[in-house]
Amino acid sequence: MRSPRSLIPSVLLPRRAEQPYRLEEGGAINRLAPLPFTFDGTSYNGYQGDTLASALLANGVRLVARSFKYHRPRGIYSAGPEEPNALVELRSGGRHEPNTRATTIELFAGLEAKSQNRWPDLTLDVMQVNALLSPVFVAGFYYKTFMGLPGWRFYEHFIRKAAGMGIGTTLADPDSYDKMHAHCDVLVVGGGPAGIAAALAAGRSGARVTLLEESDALGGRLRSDRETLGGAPAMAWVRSAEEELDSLANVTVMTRTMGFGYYDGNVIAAVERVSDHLATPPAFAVRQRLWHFRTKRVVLATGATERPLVFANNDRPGVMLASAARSYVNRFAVQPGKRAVVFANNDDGYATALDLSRAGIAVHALVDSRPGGNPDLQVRAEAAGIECLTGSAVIGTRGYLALHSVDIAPISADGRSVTGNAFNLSCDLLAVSGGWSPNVHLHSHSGARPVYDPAIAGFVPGTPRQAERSAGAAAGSFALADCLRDGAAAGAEAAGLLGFDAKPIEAPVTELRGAKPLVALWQVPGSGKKFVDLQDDVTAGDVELAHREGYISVEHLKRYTTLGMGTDQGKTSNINGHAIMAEARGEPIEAVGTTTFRPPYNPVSFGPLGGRDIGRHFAPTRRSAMHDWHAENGAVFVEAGQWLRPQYYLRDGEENVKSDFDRAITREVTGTRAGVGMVDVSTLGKIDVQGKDAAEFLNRLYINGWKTLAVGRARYGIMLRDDGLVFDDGTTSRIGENHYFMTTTTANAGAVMSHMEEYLQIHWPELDVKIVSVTEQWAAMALAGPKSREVLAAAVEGLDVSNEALPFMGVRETTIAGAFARVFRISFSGELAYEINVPADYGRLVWERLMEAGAAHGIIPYGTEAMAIMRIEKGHVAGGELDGRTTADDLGLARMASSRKDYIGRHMMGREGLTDAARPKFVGLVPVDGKTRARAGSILVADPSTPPPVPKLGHVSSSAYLSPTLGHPISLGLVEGGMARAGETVWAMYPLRDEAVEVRIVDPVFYDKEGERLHA
Amino acid sequence: MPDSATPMPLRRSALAGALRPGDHGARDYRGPGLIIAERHPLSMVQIEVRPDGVQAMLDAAADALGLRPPESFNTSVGNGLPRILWTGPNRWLVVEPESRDLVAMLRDALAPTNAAVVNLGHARVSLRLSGREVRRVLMKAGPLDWHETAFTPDKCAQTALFHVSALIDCREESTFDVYVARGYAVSFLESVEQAAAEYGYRVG
Repeated sequence: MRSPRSLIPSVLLPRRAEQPYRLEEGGAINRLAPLPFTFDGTSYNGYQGDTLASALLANGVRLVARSFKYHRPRGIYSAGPEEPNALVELRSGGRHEPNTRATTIELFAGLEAKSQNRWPDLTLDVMQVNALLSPVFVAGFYYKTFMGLPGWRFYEHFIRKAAGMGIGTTLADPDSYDKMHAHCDVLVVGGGPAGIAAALAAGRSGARVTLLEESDALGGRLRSDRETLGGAPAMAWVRSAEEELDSLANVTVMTRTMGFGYYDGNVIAAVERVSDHLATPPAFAVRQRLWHFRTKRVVLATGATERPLVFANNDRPGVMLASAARSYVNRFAVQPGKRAVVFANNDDGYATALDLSRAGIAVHALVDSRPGGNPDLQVRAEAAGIECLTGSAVIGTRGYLALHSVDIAPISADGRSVTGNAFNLSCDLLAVSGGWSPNVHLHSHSGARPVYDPAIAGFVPGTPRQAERSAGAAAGSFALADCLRDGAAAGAEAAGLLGFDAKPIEAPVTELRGAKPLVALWQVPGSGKKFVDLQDDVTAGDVELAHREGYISVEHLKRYTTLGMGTDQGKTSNINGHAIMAEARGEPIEAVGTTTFRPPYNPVSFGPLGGRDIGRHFAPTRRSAMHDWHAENGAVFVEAGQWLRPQYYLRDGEENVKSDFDRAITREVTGTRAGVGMVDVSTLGKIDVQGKDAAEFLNRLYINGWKTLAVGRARYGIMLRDDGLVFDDGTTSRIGENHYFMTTTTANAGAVMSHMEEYLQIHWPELDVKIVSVTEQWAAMALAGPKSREVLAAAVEGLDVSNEALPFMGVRETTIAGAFARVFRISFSGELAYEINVPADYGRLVWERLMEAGAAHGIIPYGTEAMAIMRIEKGHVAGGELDGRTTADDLGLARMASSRKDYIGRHMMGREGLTDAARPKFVGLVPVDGKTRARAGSILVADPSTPPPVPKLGHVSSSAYLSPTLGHPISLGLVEGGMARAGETVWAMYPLRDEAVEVRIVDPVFYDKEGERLHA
Repeated sequence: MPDSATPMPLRRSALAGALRPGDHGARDYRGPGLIIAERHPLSMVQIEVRPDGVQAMLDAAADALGLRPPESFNTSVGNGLPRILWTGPNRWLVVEPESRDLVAMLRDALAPTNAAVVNLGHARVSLRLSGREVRRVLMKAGPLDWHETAFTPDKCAQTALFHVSALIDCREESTFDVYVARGYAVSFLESVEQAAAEYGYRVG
């Protein structure tokens, strides 16, 4: 829904003061490159190097979202991919994208973003009424209240509308996407200090190394923290390391590339955001690329995510992660507030307070929940004029659209109760840190189980299940020196295991700090809404409710409360929620466990997953050698598997509408039956079979005998599957002493080839038989109709095609238009007919020569519709009958089966179920009213008014909605009793379309029952 | 097969009308990243022999072709006149520009070795892909390791490229001959062109 404000052109909107929260200096932004952008229709400026979130904060925009369920005002909470709140709709038109995280969107000139899940706008969201009703809107409320009541479908519409995320676009995406495959010896995921050290150590050994970094540059937390390495700013080390990596030919560094999934076979999937930082991709460039890395070793240096603290009203705009507050002041030179309070259960609070203070923010208090705090760091903080309150907690916040103060009180050593009076402290920024959780997502995807480490109160990687090792913060080592050491060791180990000579690298010297461990504080005492999962509006109370209602497993907790769902998949909320559940259960966290992470680590859009396999390129298409001729002559193509085949040919003035294509199909059938027609049959499978055991092999493949077939003759054959059901049919010709040419149906060409390969390679390797698919070598065309011999005679060079010289089932070699041609006198249409095969590059030449020779006889090209109608008229079986459920006997072909030899499927064909006399048998069907079609797939029943369950007599397998030869629709089918019921009527039911057609059972051969025409 | 003295009519490539000569896609000061050229008309003949006949066939083929087919899997030999590729156990493909009746010649020469000699000259379309970005384009096409240290000249492989079954022969560090079934030629060419557009490509 558009807000009234967004209807006003942006030039008319008031312009704000330029970036009032931007620091005068510092940060990794380019102040010489201002970038204009709009948010909810208002124009702002940011700088190159900003994210949308940092640019909004620089402009003093603090309210950016409304929460999922209660529509509570929300602000920017993080500075990274874990962002639960600041989801926006980005871009417009076909490029419109909902639910993107403002904290990871790189700012570009002209960026348009809109808040979502609010109406009419963020400050006046009418659905905030939900918040007043929040006492009843607890977890499971909707289902408990509305499910089972009449009209759930009616309520559901409004419930889903009231709660939700952004709205997608229905327009086509104008951008293109790629899929890429790459291999490497060592893949390092994560370009922070541990990942860089790993890539350096492995890269120097000569191993092929790829380093993936999700953001736009290497550095990880070093980009946001004031660390030093070897006495210089840490980013100087990052830059020199990057230069070295760039100089190594065996190392590839990919930024803006997120490893999002870890799959079997040590495959890592990643998405590269090639053009997301631009308004539109440059000409011919893709928007994003999906990568599949097939790797020998993986180093997971995926870092860690800071977690919130759970206290009353901890969701107001102005509350943010401490690490994010440091990112904004240090990396983006933005003050996320002017008056700050820092609240932590670990040492991070001190670094945060000092950084904020250095950035000119008045830090009103540092609240450390640990009873003694960290005295060493406290000295430093107090030297900077920051008051430290240890053994205390923020127990509530005030403000509505923005934070304006916090309530602070002393708490007990176990963190369960408030031990003194609260006081109120004014602030517009509250930076919180509940400790860090290693990003074990990819490790978990690989099938490994993370284990709980009480020292960091978080889950660390468990025993690897694939060739991987986690390093640095991802492995629970948070100190910079440890990250560097661990990363280098992991990189060297990975290369060493692959046989490369990896030497240890010298880690630069880091600043020493007196560290004190964190003290877990899962829930701050006090009453009010204490949000655990900000994105899904799940509170500590909801977790406790789930426990009371019996949903005590973490997996049930997730489904019941939606904890950990959504775009952030619980990055900031899972562990707090699970710990609160553990507390409610009275069990340790390790006993409660954690939910399983599944790919993707962060949301991946459908674009790169589809890549270029969309639209007409969803699957490759296959064209015959005569394709262009068909297209030039009015063919309308139909997909037959991957083949494009002419369905019928329209003439000038005809449109592709039923009346016109009915006329075309009728013209093609009657033209062929009365004179001569030609159809492209290049799609039939063709297999060259050679070797002295070729005849024996054919004898075992087909149910009929092959040893007596003479050179220059063709024979029709039926193959069974191992289980005795019919597999495929076709003609095979003997073209040399030990040389045969087999044809299969179009649909089964590949399957028959595989079947033959399997038997030759595995079951009968002793047979001297060599097979090769020659489907593509030969263009094939069928010339059919009473005039076909005259046309052929006019086209062949030096071949007698008389009935005596080339009898039915004869095969001859000749040339047509100078090209080698093999002529088979076989018929699918029931007419006198020939199939002509020529090397494919001569296909069009020979087709045109035959059309020219046939012009005097009114030759007509025909498509698959006319072909299918003619074969149904003739009662030939095809795909509808060879459907993997029928036996040779069902199809009236059992007499072909030889009793003097063994063949595939013979014994299984004799089993009880396949010889049951009640099996439906092949018949023809005609409508009793003479005009209504019985659709293929219809069920045959005795009486349409029988109440269910209705006994099934059989089904309609193929149907010609018009038979120009007979003047009424005809069908083929299988019915109990088969031809013994000839003359009886049954009903063809098609419940999907509510159709019931009374049909009479007749002989399946509707046309030329004696076969006089094909022998003519 | 007709007598090789009979002049054969002109062959029509599966890509007739689909190849648009010239430069397409992005422009780069270094020139197009990929060069696409059809190799046509080609003679392509598959030789398959029983395991016990391999050595005799290799000897006979070496005599007839002046080049011994490679015995190592996934390798190819020859300067193109002819080129012989290993395509499976006891199976090879001999390729050369069409100038003689290669099938008939090999049938005669290999007759004593009980080899099956099959003409696939019209069954495959061959594109020569070369240029600066050729390996990058192949990375979009299929899952093999296309790195220059892994897929070296005189190696060949069979895999799906853009979902089409293909035979790939590395001729030089930045030159590959790719063979696909004739019917897929147009669809395959379109996929190659799409993949190469961002680097610029020349159809020559």
